[in-house]
Amino acid sequence: MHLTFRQLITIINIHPCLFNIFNNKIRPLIRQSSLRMFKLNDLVSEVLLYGIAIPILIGIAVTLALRGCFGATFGKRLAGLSVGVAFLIGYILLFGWADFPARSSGQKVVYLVLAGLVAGTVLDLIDRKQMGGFILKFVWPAAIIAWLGWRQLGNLNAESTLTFGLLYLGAVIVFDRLNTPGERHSNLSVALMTAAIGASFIAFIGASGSLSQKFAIVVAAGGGFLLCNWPTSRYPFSAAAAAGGGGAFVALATSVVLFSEVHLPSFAILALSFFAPSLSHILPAQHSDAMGPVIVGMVSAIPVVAGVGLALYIAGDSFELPF
Amino acid sequence: MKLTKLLYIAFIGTAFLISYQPAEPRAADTYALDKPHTQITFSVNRGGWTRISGWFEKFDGTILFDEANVANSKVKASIEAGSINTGFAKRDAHLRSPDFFNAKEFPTMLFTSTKIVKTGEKTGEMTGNFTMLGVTKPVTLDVTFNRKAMHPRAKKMFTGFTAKGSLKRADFGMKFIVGAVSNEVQIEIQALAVKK
Repeated sequence: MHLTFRQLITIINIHPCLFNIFNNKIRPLIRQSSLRMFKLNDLVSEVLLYGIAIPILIGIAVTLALRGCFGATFGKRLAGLSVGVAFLIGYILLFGWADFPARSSGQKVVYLVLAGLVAGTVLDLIDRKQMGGFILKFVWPAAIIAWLGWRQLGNLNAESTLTFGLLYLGAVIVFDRLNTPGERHSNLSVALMTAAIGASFIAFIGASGSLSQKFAIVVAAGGGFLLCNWPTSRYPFSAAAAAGGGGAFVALATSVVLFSEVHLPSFAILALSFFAPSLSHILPAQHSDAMGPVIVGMVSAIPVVAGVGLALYIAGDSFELPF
Repeated sequence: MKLTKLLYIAFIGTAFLISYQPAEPRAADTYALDKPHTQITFSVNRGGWTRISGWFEKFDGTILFDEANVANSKVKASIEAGSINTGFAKRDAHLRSPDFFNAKEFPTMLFTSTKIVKTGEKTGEMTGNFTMLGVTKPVTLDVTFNRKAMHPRAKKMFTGFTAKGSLKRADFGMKFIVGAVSNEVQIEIQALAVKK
């Protein structure tokens, strides 16, 4: 199909209208009716429904639907898309549709996950593992950090250069560990979920409730995929899962590092969670499909407990959100 | 004698002509905000129980004030989001976080007036573009002109205004716990400005 320049402009102009209709009409309608249906009346219940229950259900539904629609080969290969899709739906229900073009880092996360899903799916379909691995490990984290931090990148000093360097290193570790060939797929979901649980707690302690909620959506999105992969590991934690779900984690982590007052050393400790699947191989029960992810969960929880403990210690007497 | 008288009249006339300036409309004066005596305050309703108020400590602004024709006046101001103060450090840290002002990503809020309408002898309505969190929306403030006078010690012309209005924070993308903390934010500005 050939689009003229005028048609393209018209489509771009229609987008804000669609976003406004969704944010101002459809989303409040969904919220009101589901709040009434589930008799929810407070903020925590709303987060539990939209940020956790719905992403888990969407994660399961999308995984099974992709498997059912595209068959044993492509269906399995594409099932990892569910992590990013579930994250996006949970995000949109809680925070609304992101403006286009995105104005804030929070809105950019939506488009980064979308881009990650598209790029990951292409890599999954062409099945070029070496090239895919390089893009996922080195190019994708650079793209995420550069887009979110482009203002700071234009004004670098010694401290910010070090911050960006460590941030990139951390992001490379995350994508490298999530793209470990031969690793049991459910183990990778567990590592992502455990790190996101820790990030959610640390963000909350660091007085950033909205980032905490977004990390909770990552946990739930990974949880839906995990439930389809446990006790039997069936669907690969594909490039789409890593670029979408892992991309959401890295993008949110970048926002935390660049734009919040969260205690960064506590947060950095969480990167160790992603080594849990490899480390767990030395433990005996790891060979069982059912017990393996449980062991990984326990091992990856160690840095989470350390990070959260340190954040609590630094926060001192109170970590309740003051507003 | 007659010639001397004529020369005298001619001299007086020339001096008068040189010194005479035809009456022109006075140009607007430019004022800068006097920071120690200007307060930008806000308040929100918290869960229906109480109102929490706060202020911004760092800001800058200029006022082009045309007293004769107020519609020609212009106001430009910038506020540092990170300078928020509600008298409670932990809440201020939360307000600076991405939940609210996202001060690291959007350090500056801007206001540029677009239209000023005189509504009474000393009152007016000022509409302008307010930019917060990267979103620009029109905001209207009710302005009262308090006083314009020479400061007795500083020997400079000072002018004072009060501006009041409100905005809906969700319109600017500040949607965190809307409801528990009201969407409507009341604004009050006590501005003292010194003539440049």
